[in-house]
Amino acid sequence: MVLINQNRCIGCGICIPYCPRSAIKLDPKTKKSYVVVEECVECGTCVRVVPCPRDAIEPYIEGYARTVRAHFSDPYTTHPSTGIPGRGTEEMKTNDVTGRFRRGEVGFAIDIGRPLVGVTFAEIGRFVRELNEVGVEWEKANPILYLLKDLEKGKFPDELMGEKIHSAVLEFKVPLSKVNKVIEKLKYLAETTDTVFSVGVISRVDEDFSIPVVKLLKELGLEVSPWAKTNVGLGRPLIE
Amino acid sequence: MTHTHHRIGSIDSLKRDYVVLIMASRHVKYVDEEGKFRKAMEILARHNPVNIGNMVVGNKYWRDEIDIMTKFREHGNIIHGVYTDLEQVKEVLRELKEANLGLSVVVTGVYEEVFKALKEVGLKPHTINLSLGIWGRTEKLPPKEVLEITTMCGHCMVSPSLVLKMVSEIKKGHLSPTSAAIELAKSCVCGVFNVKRAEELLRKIVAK
Repeated sequence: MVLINQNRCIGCGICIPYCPRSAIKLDPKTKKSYVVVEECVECGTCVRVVPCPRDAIEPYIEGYARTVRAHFSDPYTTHPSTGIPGRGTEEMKTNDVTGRFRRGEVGFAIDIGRPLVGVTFAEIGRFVRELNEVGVEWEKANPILYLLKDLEKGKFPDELMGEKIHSAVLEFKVPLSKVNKVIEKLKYLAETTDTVFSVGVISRVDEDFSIPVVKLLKELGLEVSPWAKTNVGLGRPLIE
Repeated sequence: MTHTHHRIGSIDSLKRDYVVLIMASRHVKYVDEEGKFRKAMEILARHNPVNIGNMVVGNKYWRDEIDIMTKFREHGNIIHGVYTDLEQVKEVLRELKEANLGLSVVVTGVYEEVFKALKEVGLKPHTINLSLGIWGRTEKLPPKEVLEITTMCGHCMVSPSLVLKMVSEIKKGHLSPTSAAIELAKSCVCGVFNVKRAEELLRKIVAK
């Protein structure tokens, strides 16, 4: 966890609003700032940007569980399973050269805990179990899969189950014909979860610039944001 | 970058917000990847971005701009440029197409507008990542006007409390909306935070 050096801290409180998890507090007795260990997800924001007048904020990540927190919360860390910074994979960003998502397939990127609420590994495991019932094809390079002890049961190592992270992206794909089943399951998860999740839907774009999955999503009564990420096909060698 | 497509706000506001990401796939062996990224970064910087970022170094409000422009890894680079006008994006795409670097390019924005730009430049959308928004216990989220600002950092590094602090500092006359937006942008290490849009949104909150 991050430590606030109590000998240096002058209790000015400048650091407090910078924490996206509100994990920095002012101790009313000592009149100095401190970090609430359970809430800190090791995102590194305070260490990087707080203009502390006494340089009292010190990075101190010790142990496996805290390191895992950092891997899923600090965009500046690179997870060994992906080789890229952040908690996700290349996903559709390089689909023009990887062909990860083919025509007729629909990808999902479910970012659990995002934005700003956070999530435990126990809850991520429940999402995995529930989605397994639909029969999805998981993205094998995803850091979550790397950590799972048992994919079928959504089981992480015991020491991680209670750990909280900023968010985790579950990535998988299904044929277009199964999208309605995934949506049904996501609706159930939305009703039963104690956190939030952001839903991304990935599709190839047709030659006439139409997006096959949009019609289906609208038929299912879903609102599709006008804002999206588009891979413009400049990568080479191009996979058509 | 992970989730630049989950930004929220009015269509008018979002039409002044575009993120261009350039990425190397770890599954492709590029010749002189560092050189390609230097060239790509020059293209991004030439068209007046309101923010730029390099995942090896950081964003332009937190790190030295020369380092952002020049320091790259041998393999696995990701860079970003943020724009407020579709015309800028068109020019960036036109130059990237001409440079033929072979790197993957992703544009986040109102997708119908992005598609129009692609058509004009002679490119085709390959793959899209659509947003279906936020699901679950949304009552735990900060107010919408704060979320409009914080969701401009895809990794959620911009704290809602800092947004409120900046609003308070502007109201007291201690900070200008521009300086407050820049202070918020520092937390978004990737450099995808649109400082101009943040400035507009801060002014809107302060005026309420």
